[in-house]
Amino acid sequence: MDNNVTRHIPDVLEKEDWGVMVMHYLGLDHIGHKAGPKSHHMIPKQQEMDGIVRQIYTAMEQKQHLQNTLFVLLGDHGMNDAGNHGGSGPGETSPALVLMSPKLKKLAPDGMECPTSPYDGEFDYYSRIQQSDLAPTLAGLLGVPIPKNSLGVFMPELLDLWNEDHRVKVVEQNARHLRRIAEATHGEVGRPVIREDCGDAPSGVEELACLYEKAEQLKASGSSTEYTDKLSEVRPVQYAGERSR
Amino acid sequence: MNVRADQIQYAYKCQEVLSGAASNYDLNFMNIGIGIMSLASGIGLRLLLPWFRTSLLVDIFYPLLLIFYAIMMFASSYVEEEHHFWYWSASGWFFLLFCRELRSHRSGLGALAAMVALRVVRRWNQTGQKFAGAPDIAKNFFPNYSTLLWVLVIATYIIVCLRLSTSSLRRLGPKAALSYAITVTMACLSFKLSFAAQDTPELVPHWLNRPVETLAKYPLVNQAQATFGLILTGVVYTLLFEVPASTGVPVTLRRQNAGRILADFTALFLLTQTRTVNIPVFLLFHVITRGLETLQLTAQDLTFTLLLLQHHSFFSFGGANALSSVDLSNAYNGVSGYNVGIVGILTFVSNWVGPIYWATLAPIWLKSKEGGYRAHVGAMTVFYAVAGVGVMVACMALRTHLFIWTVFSPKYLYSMAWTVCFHLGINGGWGGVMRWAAGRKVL
Repeated sequence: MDNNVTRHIPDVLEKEDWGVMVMHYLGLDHIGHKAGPKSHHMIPKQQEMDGIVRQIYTAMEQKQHLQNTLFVLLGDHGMNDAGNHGGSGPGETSPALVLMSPKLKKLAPDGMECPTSPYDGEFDYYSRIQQSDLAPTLAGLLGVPIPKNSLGVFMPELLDLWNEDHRVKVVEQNARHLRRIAEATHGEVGRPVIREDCGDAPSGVEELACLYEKAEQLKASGSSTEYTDKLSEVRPVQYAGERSR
Repeated sequence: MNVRADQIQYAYKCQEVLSGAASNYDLNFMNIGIGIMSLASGIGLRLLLPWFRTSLLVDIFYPLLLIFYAIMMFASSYVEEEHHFWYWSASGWFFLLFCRELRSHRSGLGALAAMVALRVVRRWNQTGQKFAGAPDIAKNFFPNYSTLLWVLVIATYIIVCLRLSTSSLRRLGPKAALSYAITVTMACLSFKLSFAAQDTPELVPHWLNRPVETLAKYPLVNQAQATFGLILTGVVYTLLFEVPASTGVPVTLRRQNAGRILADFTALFLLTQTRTVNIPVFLLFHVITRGLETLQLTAQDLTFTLLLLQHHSFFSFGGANALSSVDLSNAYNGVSGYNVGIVGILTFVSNWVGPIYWATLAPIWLKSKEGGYRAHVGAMTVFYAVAGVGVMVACMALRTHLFIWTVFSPKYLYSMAWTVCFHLGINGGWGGVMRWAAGRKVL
């Protein structure tokens, strides 16, 4: 069934008239449901998918009109030990996401360790984002506005692609977008109280207002904008209690 | 790299706060629902009090079961692994029955046989979330022993055929009965074989290749329709002609309970809707049934046993409280176009074959016991009402829980299926038909 998708790829890669190409492969999902993640069908299928990736990436490297292309490889869901999904187990909620482009080499000139082992849990390789973070990330990379109701945050790892000015713009656009949604949902907080540690605020909404006011103050004072060169300080310790039952 | 940390932290905090917002629940409706269910539980319990008379064991354990089940609904792990609750309860219950038999100086072998059979049934399908990939009989044993599988499948069908040949179509004489029984059984068996050849060819041993090739000429849809048609003909004939008492029938024929005939036809239908690898479980159900017949059980004991067996068999056939475990492989038998109603019914039957089997036997067993089938339905109603309250309150209280949509809501959907489709439809509706048939003697 995947051949129906694969047979079109060489033609489309030649053409220049498309903006987005979506390839939806069902084979891996089907094999998972039928026989689980450890069946003997699984490895050949994954090797087949690897071959497709190689074919597309090679075209991106070689063809002129594909120089500005971003290749996003991802799964819509994972699978549990029985090959099914719909529950909340780590196997089901940890689908893979890979962003590929020759232009992304800038982010890791020495390459990234591969194969690698999870830094956390069973399936947390390299880093982890929320599903909703994909939309602002793609929007930022392609230069289009963030979708109106998206609750995502642009992936901080990718900010290094740009110079400082553009970086600041991307982050600020994202923050303002989320603020608009917060205000639409919860209304404006009357007089935001700025605390030393905004986490002491009585409610999540007030904590948000406190954080935003702090950020605005720092921006207004100009010279002392808060920077960090450690990504771990920026990324929250996400969902520490999520896996506990 | 330099990065505006404060704004990024603000963005992540926004994401956390805004994604945690609970959905737009209509709390009024939810409260009304809980209120009605609680009222039903209260009325049911009040009406059930006279039922608590004949069995001390049930007096203790039935309320305990209700309480523990309702409490269990509040923990996501217990909901995901609900099968353990039923497996332990059923084994414990049969052990208690065994002890009771010993105390009355009977051998208790029946209870022992049932316990052994249950142990094998438990291992048939691995279910639940945590050990979903662990080995079990259906997935790991049979693919290596496909010959044994089909020997067992054929044995199961032969047993049903023999029962049918001696009990159905009595009025037309033994020859007609036998040929009909063989025809309908062969239709079912050949459909199963063709289906397996197409869906899971690795399960078909080489010595069945000739029949498979012969049958390949006929489309699966037609085979299934023929099977259902034959079964339906038999059922209609039984209901119309065998059930009403009639004259002109030789009195030498043994008095036969029409309920048993219907139960055999139901078994055939259930076998058609079961996955091939699960069919031998019905042989084990026979063992359990025989075992139970040797024990002296009151109506109360029977009701409690059936409640445990129904839920036990649901899970051992591969069911679970997850939407991903809904088995659709037999939902389209005989359906060629788009038909939501029939596919829905077939899906329900496919996933509830175990419980429906036990629910079909219930009216036959209970018709001569104290309180009859009605008390049984009453007791079951109380269970489903209390369980319903448990699930509803859990969903209400945990509506902002992380797992509300992945664990608790699917459990609520399954509760609805159990209460409305199974309890009302099968226990009440089909059970009522069986009760009516069971009350009629066939000459």
